[in-house]
Parts: sequence; C-alpha cells; structure tokens
Amino acid sequence: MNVYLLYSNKMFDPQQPVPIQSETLIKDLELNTIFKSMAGNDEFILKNVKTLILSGLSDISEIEYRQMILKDCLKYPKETRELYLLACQGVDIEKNKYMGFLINYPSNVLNGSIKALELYIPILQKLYNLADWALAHYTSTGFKRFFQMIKEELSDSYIKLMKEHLKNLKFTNGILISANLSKNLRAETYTIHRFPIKKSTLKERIFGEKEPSFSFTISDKDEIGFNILSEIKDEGVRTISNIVAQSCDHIRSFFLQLKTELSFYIGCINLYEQIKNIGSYVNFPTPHPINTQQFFCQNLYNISLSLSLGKKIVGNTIDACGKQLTIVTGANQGGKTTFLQSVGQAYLMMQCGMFVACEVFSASIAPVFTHFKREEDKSMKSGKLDEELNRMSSIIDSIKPGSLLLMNESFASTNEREGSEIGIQIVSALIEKNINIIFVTHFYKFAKFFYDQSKNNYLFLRAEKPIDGKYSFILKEGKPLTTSFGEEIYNRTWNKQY
Amino acid sequence: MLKKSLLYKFEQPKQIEKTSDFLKDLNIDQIISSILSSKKDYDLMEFYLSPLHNELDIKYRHEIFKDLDERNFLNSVIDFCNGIHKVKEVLNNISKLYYEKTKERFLLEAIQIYCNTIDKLYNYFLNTNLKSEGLMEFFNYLSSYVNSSDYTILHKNVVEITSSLDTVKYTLHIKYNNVKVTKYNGEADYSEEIKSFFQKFQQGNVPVYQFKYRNRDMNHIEAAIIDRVAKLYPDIFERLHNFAIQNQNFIAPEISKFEQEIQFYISYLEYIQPLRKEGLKFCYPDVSEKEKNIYCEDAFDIALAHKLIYSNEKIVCNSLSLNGEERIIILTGPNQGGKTTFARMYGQLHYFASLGLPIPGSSAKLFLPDNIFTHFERQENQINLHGKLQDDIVRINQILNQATSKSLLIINEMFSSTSLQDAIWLGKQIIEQISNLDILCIYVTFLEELSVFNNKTVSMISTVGQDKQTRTYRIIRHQADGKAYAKTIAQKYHLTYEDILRRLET
Repeated sequence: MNVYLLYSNKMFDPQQPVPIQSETLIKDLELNTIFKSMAGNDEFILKNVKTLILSGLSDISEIEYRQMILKDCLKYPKETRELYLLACQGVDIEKNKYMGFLINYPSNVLNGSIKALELYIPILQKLYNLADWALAHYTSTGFKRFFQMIKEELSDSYIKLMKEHLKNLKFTNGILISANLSKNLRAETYTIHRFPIKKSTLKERIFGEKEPSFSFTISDKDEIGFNILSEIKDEGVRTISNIVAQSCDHIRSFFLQLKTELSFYIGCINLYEQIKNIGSYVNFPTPHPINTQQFFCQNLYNISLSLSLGKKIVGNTIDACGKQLTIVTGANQGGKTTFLQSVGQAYLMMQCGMFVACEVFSASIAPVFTHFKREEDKSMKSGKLDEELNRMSSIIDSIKPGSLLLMNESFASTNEREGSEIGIQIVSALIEKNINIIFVTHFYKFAKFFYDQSKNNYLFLRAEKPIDGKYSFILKEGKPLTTSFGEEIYNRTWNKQY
Repeated sequence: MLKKSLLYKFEQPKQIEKTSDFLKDLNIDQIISSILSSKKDYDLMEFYLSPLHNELDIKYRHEIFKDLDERNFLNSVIDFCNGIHKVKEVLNNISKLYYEKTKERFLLEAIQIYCNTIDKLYNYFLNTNLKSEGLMEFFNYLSSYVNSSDYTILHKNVVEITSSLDTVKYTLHIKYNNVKVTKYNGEADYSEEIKSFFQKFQQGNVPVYQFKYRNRDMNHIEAAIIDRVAKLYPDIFERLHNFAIQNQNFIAPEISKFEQEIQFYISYLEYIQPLRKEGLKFCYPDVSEKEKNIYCEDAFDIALAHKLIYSNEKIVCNSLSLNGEERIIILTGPNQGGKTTFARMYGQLHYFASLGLPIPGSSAKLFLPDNIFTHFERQENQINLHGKLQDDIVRINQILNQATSKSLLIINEMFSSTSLQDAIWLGKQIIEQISNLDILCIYVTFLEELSVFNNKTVSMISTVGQDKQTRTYRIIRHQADGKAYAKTIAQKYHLTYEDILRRLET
C-alpha cells in the first residue's frame, strides 16, 4: 500500500540529502521564517518541510501533481487535518510497550504484537470510512489514487479476516505444529498451522475413519517435563512470532509514511492560514522547463518579511522573459535585497509544489544559488574579499547550466574599481555557461560595462529614490545611474540639523 | 585376509624395549613423542618401536611412501581417515545416549558416513596410478569389498532407510499439558499465510526478531513424542530397528586395519612436512644388511631441525662417507661445535632408515644394524668420580659383549672422569675391540690422540669460523688439530681462549 502523496511513483525518504548550498540559502533568503510559520513548534513538520523546500523537483508533472493535492488540502483543511491526526494515532501505537521485559521469548513478542494489532484495527476502519467522503470531494490524482487504494485494501472483509487471524494467533485451542526428523530424531524446526475447519456430518462421525493419533499427558508433578513442553511451544511459534511482529512494524511504517508525507501539506495549510490572517495573498505558479529563460511575476512580495512584520507589503511586477542577466541598481534601502530574496523564495516554493507569494508567477525551473554580502569574518581567518571569493569558488564547484544565481552586493568588500573588474570576469564567464544571474550592486563601473554591451538578454532595474522621505520599494526598469542618491540623503540629514 | 599388512611383506618386525638407552640418547623418543602427540586415537607407538631387519621390507615401505608423495592421493587418504574417525566419534557418542531409537538413528548415521567414506576412497584409488605392492594389494581387497554383496546390501539399506526417515512428517497438537501426535496431513504453513496477509503494508525493510535457542539434548518428552511417531510409521521404525540390530559391527576389520596402518605413514609425513616446506631434503636410502661403505649427503638432526624451524634459525646440513675398510669415525674439535648433534644424526638416520621411512638428506646409502648401542655421559654425583669411571667401563663392557659385527655404536665423551693418560689408554683399548668386531661406530671425544689408530678409523672435526669464535656446525673429514697437552686439558674444561670469550659474552 503506497502512500505516494509527494511523488506520483515513489515514496518520500525523509533522510534524502539536501543540496550542498542549503544552509546558505536558508540564511540568505530568510527561509527560517517560512519554516517556522509552517511548522509552529512541531519538530516533525519542521524537519520535513525544510527537506522538501530545499530539494526541489525538476519534473513539471511532479510539481503539478503536488499542486493539485495541495489545492485539495487548502479547500478542505479540516478533513485533511483529520486524516493527519489518524496517521499520528497509528504511529503512536508501539508494540514494545506490550511485550514486557522478556523480549527474546517468542510467545511474549507474539502476544505484544497481537495487542498492538488489535489497536490498529479501529484506526484502519476510520481510514476506510474516510475514503468515501474523500473520493467524493478530493479532486487531485494523488488523493484519488490513495483513497481508491484504501477502499480496495481495507475493505470490511479484510478487517473481518484480520480479526479472525488475531483470534487464531491467541492459540486458545492449543497449537498445531509439524516437524521432520533430524539426525538425532528431534525436530530441527517446527512449522505452525491453523486448525483445519472440519465440518463433519453425522454420518461421517459415526462411520468415518478417524485420523490415527497417539496422545500423552504430562503429569502435574513433572515440572521439568512442563518446562520442556513450554520450550517446544515457543519453538513452534518462533517463526510466526517474528512475522507477526514484523507485520506490526509494517503497519506502523505505513502510518509513519502517511504522517510524513501529509506533514508537508499540513505545513502549507498553516502557512496559508497565516497569510490570509494578515490580509495578504498567494497563488499557484506556472513552472516551465529548465533553461527556457521564462520569468514573469506580478506583485511578487517577500513572504518572510511580510510574516515578520505581520502585514501585507508591496510587491514587484517584472517581465524578464528571455533575460539571462538582470542587474539591479539604485537607492539604498530601496528594496533591492528584499526583491532578490523574494525571487529566491518564489523559485524554491514553486519547485516543491507550493503556492508562491504573488498574484501571478511563471518561471523556468532552476536550481537556486545565492552569494550575499556577509559580516566581517569573526574568526579573522581571512580578509573579507578572501571570504567572498572562497564562497564564490564553492558555488562554482556545484553550479550547473540552467541554474539561477542571486548575487547581492558581491565583491563590495573591496573598492569599486577592483570589485567591478572581478565581477565582470566572473559574470561574463557564467553567462557564457548558461547560468542565469540577478545581480544587485552599487558598482556603477560594473553595471555600465554590461549596459554598454547593449545585449537583448540583459535587463536593468532600478530602485527608486524616496519621494518626501518615503521609499516605494518598487523596482522599475532603468539604466544604472552614477549615484545612489547618497548626496541627497546627506543633504537631507544635515539639513535636518538646522 | 588379515595376514596382509601394509607395513611389511616378508618378516613381521618385533618391538624393541621402550626404555632402550639409545632411544633417549639419540632424542628419538622426543621425535616419536612429537609425531604421536596429535595421533592419540591411533596405536602407533608399536610401529615406531619395531625396526625392520629385511632390505626387502624396507623397500616395501619406501614404495608406499612414494605413492603417498603424490599430494592429491595423500589428501584423499587423509580424507578417508577423517571419515573413519568421524564414524568412530559417532559410535562413541551412541554409548552415551539413553534412548533406544536415538541410538539406532545415530548408528544409521555412522553407517551412512562409513559407506560414503569407503565409496570416496574407492573412487580415489581408481583414479590414481599406484606403484607400490602394498597399496595395490589393498586396492584389490577394496575392490572386492566394495563389490561384495554384503557391502552393497548395507549401502542400499542405509540409503533407503535414511531417505524414508527423511520423509516422515508428523503434527503435534499441544494444549495445556496434553500432546497429540498425528501424521502430517498437508496442512499449509500458517506463518506464510499471515505474512502475505500483512504484506500490503510493507514500506521498506524492518528488523528481524532474534530469539534464544533451546537446549539440544534429547529428553523424555520428545522421546515420548518419537515413540508415538514410531507407532504412526511402524514399518519404517521396525526396519530401522532390525537394521540396527543386524549391523552393530559394520566396520570391516581390514578397513580398520588399513586405517590404523596407513596412519603410520601419514603421521610421519605430517611430521616432516614443515621441514620439507622450508626446503630441507628427504630421501629414500639404499639400505644394506651387509655393506658397510655408507654415506649420506646434506643430512641433519630431525629433532633439532624441528625446534629451529619455529625460531627461524638456519639449519646446517652435513655429509659423511666411509670407504674401503673405514668403520669408526673419531669426532673431535671445539666444544659446542655440533659434534653431539652429528652423532645423534648418525644414529637417527640409521634408525629411521630401518623403519623404512624417508630420511634427512639428498641421498644416502646406509647399513641395516641388528642393534643400536649408545654410550652417552650420565649425570652422576660429581663427588663419586671413581663410581663414574667404573660405570663408564662397565657399561662399555656390557655393550661390547652384546654387540655383533652387525651392530651400530655411538659413543659420546667416554672416560672424561679420569686422568688423560688413563683416558687415552682406555680409549685405545676400546677402539681396538671395536675394530676387531668390525662394527660401525662414531666416537665423539676431546682426546685427539685417538683420532689416528688404524686403517679403520676416520678423523672428523667440528669447525669454527675465521674469527675462531662463531660456530659453523660444519663437520668435516680432517685430521685432528694436534694441539698440545695443555690445550687439550683446557678444552676438556671449556677454558680455551675461544671458550672464555664466548662464555663471557652472555
């Protein structure tokens, strides 16, 4: 019985490795805010959403598979949460609690496992009962497949048979085991059997030939004999004890898998509800194949910032289709970094099948890398430029054609002349290798170099200067200016003093 | 049938006294002890204490050894011995058992192993090109035994009864303290049914549950079960019972004898194997009852070689030869030079040659003595010097009275407890008697005056290296050093220049 709610054809492995640049992404794109919103205090949900958001999908149909399931969850959050709760209940049943201390005796393991299996039955039944409603309301392929499977596998007749097996396994009628003769005539191993269901007619009972059999009884005083018989019985149930215990484990692992895969959607529901509470909006994005240089966003905003501030914030509308290099210049504190982060966040959320913080979002799939300005290296091991170039080098180690590299004030640790030169070298090479770059900078020399090349696949955006001291935080297309309005800010500041 | 032996053809050898002096003096007792230490289950001491006195019997044994030099064949014979050993082990265990049916079952097992072992051995023999008379003779016997109706029936029965017992399958219905035994009726494995019932939930691998294993000895409960199983399958168990009664003694005496006798060969081969592996040579000597012009090349003391192998030291080989009238080797030279070792080697070579064994060396021609006598120093109370001299004289007198011209004599430092003049005079008397008897002798002494006597004596010396200190352990034919009286005295008490340097080194 496969859960298959995160992938259409395989199970999600919570231990799967995340990309090497994950820690950097979390830091630069402020992803912890998003994770926390999704998980709250739940460590289990946190771990899984983190893994899933950081390791994106590269297959568009898989993204759409998840989107459809997520849409179902957002439409029916209550029922989805009920399903999740059911999975949690299943996971909470631990057979070890019922086995006692003597866990290397087969009969103890068997009895403990039977108790656990009995507790699973009502949960399986509830799951089955949920299926009818689910098939009538959920529309995603994922949920439909899952509940169809539940209906088929956990039918009333199956549950009935399970109850019968559990009754048999208590062996209230004694045990029936068979054996061959070994080299010293003792039994090597025993095979255990059900009691045959014999329905004998009256005629058979009178005239029928009975099976030849020979019996004996151990006397009450024969304590040793009793112990030996106990051992033989334990030997007899050895194999089946193992199998029943393993079956218990199988059922629990099924519930665990269900809980794991649903945790992602529960996280998404939580996030959605918080966004709605602060009066903001999200929408489902349209993914495009890798390397097709699609990018269009309408009112894309930084979701982490919005959640931190607890209010709706302004978004950007950018058309960068066919653009491989985007350079962003302009006023300090004008929203450049915020914009860069919102792009990174949107890509990651799109690629794991989530909604995105915007009204419209359409982009080609791309692995995301970031190279942001950092604090002075506290360990004083290297100079700041060293540190930047070191990080850049690590990125080059892993980055592949079609990836997206977000650079925020890179090489600002040195002067404009030197920093521009370095930047020009690196960016030119990366462009040639089909890496897509969005570069936020205040290096005029650097920006002008590329502007002068007058290429069709370059885009230049500018953060507007404040009007009456107020920033718009909106980026507009515009050529790089020599100043970032430092003079204006100076004047205003000094003027304020008089 | 029992008259044929793998150990001799013409003359059954007689056992010598276990306490004979020469066995101890030549370290042969140590060697035999070592050989037999891993062969406690076999009675091989007798064979090692019964030297042959017949050239033809020696050849008889050589031929068998040569057949066993073929590695694969040797391994197959060892295989056979292991098989019979296993059979005896099982039979031994039976005597410790209590339940009749279990005993019978084990007997069946023992016979099964026996038949398999015999069949395998026969097969090996078929595929080997044998040359020795002894083994070919045994092969004839084996062929007729394997094809005999007795054996064929035994084999057939054991296979049939074993396979019918293997088909027995029974069920137990155990409720509280009641056990009901019935024949197995094709009931399905419930574990498998449960497994496939829950299969659908499996997501991946889950751990396997380990349980303790119970005691494996038969007990009265299981015996009671088996008794009832026997009632369900009366024919099979009756057949087992009858078969067991009829075949209490199933091992053919000739097979048993072969197993015992072939171990004589195997035990020795296993003993010399580590030496051969190190590159030391062994050869099959020409042994003569008459000719005393003996020689040997590259020989060594086996007991010493075995010790040195384990401490990774080099083994020095020596050669000797006696031509024409030569009979008596007078061996002199620096102390600790390997003289006593050489003398022991001389004795060992002859004794082992008389047992028909391959001996150390690359080639050799030896004499077959009627007796080996040794006269080694006895550790006596030093105060009673008179007693020691008397003891020496009495002993050599007894030896010379018993010795014949066909004997072998090894003397190591005789008359060391008297004045030089006496010792030299006594020595000369003894050598004259030995010469008159024309016996082969080696006489180790510090008295270089004895090294030249008549045309029957040969002088050999132990040598030291250029620095006059390192021992080479090389013994060569050479006239004695002819040192002065003083040096000779000093030599006697280990007080030469070289001796003192060496002694103060440690």
